[in-house]
Amino acid sequence: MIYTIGAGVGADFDIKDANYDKVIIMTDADTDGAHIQTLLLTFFYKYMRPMINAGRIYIALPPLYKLQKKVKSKLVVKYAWTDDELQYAVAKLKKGYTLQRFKGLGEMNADQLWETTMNPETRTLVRVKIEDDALAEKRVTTLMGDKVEPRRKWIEKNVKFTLEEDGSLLDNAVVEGAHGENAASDSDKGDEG
Amino acid sequence: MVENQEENSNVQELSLEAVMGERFGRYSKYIIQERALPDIRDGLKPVQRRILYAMNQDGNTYDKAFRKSAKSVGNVMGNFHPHGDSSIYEAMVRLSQSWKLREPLIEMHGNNGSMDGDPPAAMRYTEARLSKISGEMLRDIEKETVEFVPNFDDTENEPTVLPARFPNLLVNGATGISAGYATEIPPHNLHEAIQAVIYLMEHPKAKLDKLMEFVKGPDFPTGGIAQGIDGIVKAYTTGRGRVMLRSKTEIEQLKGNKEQIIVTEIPYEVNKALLVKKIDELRLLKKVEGISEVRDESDREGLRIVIELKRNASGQGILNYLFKNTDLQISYNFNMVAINNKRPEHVGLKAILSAYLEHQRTVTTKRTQFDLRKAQERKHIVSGLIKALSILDQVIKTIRASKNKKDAKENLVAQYDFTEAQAEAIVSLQLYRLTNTDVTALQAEFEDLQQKVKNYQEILADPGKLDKVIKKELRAIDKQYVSPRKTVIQDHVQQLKIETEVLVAPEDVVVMVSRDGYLKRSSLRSFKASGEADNGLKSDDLVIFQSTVNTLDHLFIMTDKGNVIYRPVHEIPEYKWKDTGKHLSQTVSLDKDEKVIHAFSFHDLKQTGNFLFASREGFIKQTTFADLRPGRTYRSRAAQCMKLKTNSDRLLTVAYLPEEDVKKDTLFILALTHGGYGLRYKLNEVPVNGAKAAGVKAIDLREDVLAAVLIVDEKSQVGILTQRGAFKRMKVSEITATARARRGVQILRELKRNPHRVILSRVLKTGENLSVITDKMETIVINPFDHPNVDRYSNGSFIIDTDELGVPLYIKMQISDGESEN
Repeated sequence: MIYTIGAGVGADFDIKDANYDKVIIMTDADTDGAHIQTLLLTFFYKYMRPMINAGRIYIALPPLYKLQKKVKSKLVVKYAWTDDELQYAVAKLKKGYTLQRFKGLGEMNADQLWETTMNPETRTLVRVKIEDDALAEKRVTTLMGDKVEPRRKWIEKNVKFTLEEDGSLLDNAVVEGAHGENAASDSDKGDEG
Repeated sequence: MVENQEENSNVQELSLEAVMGERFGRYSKYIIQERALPDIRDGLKPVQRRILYAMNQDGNTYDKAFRKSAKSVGNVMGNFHPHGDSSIYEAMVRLSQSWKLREPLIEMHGNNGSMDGDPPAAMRYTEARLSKISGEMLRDIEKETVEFVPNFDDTENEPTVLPARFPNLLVNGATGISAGYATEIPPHNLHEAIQAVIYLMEHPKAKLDKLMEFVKGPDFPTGGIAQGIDGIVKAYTTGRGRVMLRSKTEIEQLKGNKEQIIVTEIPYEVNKALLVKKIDELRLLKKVEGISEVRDESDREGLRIVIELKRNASGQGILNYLFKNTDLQISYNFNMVAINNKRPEHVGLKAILSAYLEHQRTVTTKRTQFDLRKAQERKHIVSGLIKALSILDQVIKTIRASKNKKDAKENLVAQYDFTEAQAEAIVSLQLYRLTNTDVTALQAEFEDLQQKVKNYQEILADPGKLDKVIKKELRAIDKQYVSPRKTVIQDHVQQLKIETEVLVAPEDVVVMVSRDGYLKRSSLRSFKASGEADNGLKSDDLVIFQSTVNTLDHLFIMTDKGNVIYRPVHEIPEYKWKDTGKHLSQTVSLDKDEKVIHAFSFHDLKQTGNFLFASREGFIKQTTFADLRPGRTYRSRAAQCMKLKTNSDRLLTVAYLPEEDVKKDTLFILALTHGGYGLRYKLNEVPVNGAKAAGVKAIDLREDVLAAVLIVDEKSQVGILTQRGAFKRMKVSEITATARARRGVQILRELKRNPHRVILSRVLKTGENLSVITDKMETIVINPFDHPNVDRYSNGSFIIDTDELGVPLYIKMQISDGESEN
């Protein structure tokens, strides 16, 4: 990664030499994918912070659900990114659809991945920026540092141990509200695909 | 690349803080709930539960043939667990390992790994099925006893917990690492755990000590000895605690005064192959002396490690060393975390037992409800059939008159008050069931069902009856699967004392300490090969101590700045005799101009005598040996043995007085000053002070300094050397004994021009020569008895040409055969 980005690492990092305007983290849409995102973000935070400050680090958002239905021998396919979108799509398709919950990128065909996640015309990206330096530092240290006790405390305080399924990053990050209003204008993507 | 502008509508801005929090929160929640931690009720992690459930669903049970592991793994992965096949297979293998689980839940045919950490055969080779006791985990699962949820693709349902008809969390333990929480629950004895559950059922307010009358501590499948009841109590109270877990060993006597250590059980989760390798490394590196061979003799009969010892080696001593330095003994840390109500919790023994008991009450209640419903349904049918048989002819008539089955049922319901379900049963009746025997059989069944229904209703109405049922079933399991405790629990942790003798091969070596601070030991062979003179010292250095000592001896080195440095002889770096050795300042910090003045060797550190210290500027004291015993930091720090009051003062003399000498009344101190004064007084006038004390005035010096302080008796003779190269032999009795801190008497005749000054002095012994070394590093040997005994005022006779040979610097006593001694 250091070699590919080509701008050094740590104190030697010089954003002028970076080969890319966008570095997009694309992981499976499951919990392990979430973990990999935190690991990669920690890496950029610790060793290539100017990339984050310049707004060049993004997270790709693969869809969570795929709905299919045959309407008059024509296959209608819809994707959903959030639970709201899912409800909306279900309401539109009415009965007789099949639902697939994506757990890995490997479940999608190349063209599906293009159409839902990679096509610059239609994709949704999350740009990751630091808003509060102190909070960012504290959170990265707590969550990814080598001390267990603060991490456990954070988990006790912030993680709700219910059986509910988790929604998308967009849903939850909005709920958490630590990032300003930008994401509140969540565009309706229900008709795409 | 597409222009940024085009895309801005689809870019959401989120802060790193928020993204990290959300992503990590989701991951940690999942890892905690769904991966690494066991449920408090059935003691299973999700992957384990899914393996058992899937295998059970496939009928892959103990009473049927083994089935390829790969098939089961594929089932689990495809139906319930959308993760890697290797992690599923690994979990499955662990469930089958009799050295990891106290009661294995899976039986595996083929290579399922070993205590040596060998990997199991690939899943296409091994075959597996549920073990018999595993059936108890799953029993009654078909009776709507536990909650089911849809699987990952909503095609099937899977249980969120198993009925677990024995307390599996305690019996098989758990180990796992998640985010923020890890868990380490040791295995326990099935019988003890069940007894504790039953006791708790009868005494809901039971205290921990009562429960511990049943559950005495962990019971590892690998046996061993667990020491430290306090740690167990703490763990059972808070979920956290520690015990020492050691191997079961035996020391066998062999012929020829040899012993061998036999290990028959090793601590839980210790890799046997690595343990044997580690012990063998200690042998090879000679970290511990006395092991001649280590063999792993384990076979199908059981575990057996043999540690063969050398002749005369102490078996217990070596065993203690191995306990301390290898995994032959480990400390086991309880960290009992389990998922309780979907939350990770630190749980003690009572919490685990209570949660299990509550689960059993739920499961048994639900099962009874299920059975009751089934019995009632059946009773209803049977009563319909009995009634039909009692009016058989009419019923047959009605059926024959009906158009079809549906019509027949409707007619039956309409005409005879049968219910729909009864009517269905009647029309489905086979003709042979109309015989007389079947009527009686139906009657019997009806009565039986009535009894059952009554029984079930009673159980559901009365918690006491419910508990009785649970108790009976637990006892049945206890009886069927009972297995005696394997791990021995001992109340106290044995403190391990490691004797030096165990670590060090006793050997005679030559040790040398030089005035400049070089230290070394050499083998006798190297010493003889090089010759004594070729000692590797720099030309201006001097040998202060040189002696043949044992590696078990102890060396004390004193410097002129009042420091003492301790070294066990075996820790002195070994060099060839012709090498210079290692400088003391490489390990302890010394002043640049600090010189070694004396060194002593002792066989042990239990000496009872005193050291005598005297400084150039006239201070003197005794300090007990005990006060100078080495502290913990002796390797890196010198200790103070005498406080020097001024920067210019130097320690002049150190002598060791064994206890009998200290008690003797006949010994005197003879203090000789540079300026030629001598004072003699009783040794017992010198007080015994601590190591950091400066002592008391030895002599009234005025502007003078001390040149020598000697321990003498009434008959001693001393040799005195002056700076002009004169030597004088004199009886001590020339100086009348008086008291400490006086001026003393003149022992030289004071010349007007170039007066003699005392620089060195020794007590003389017959048969010993004086070997004098000058500042030009010339050695002059004097036989003091060649010179006459002279009186107090004599200046002696000139024996050294100081212009040519230099001023005397140092004297050694030299016995005629060449052995030198201080």
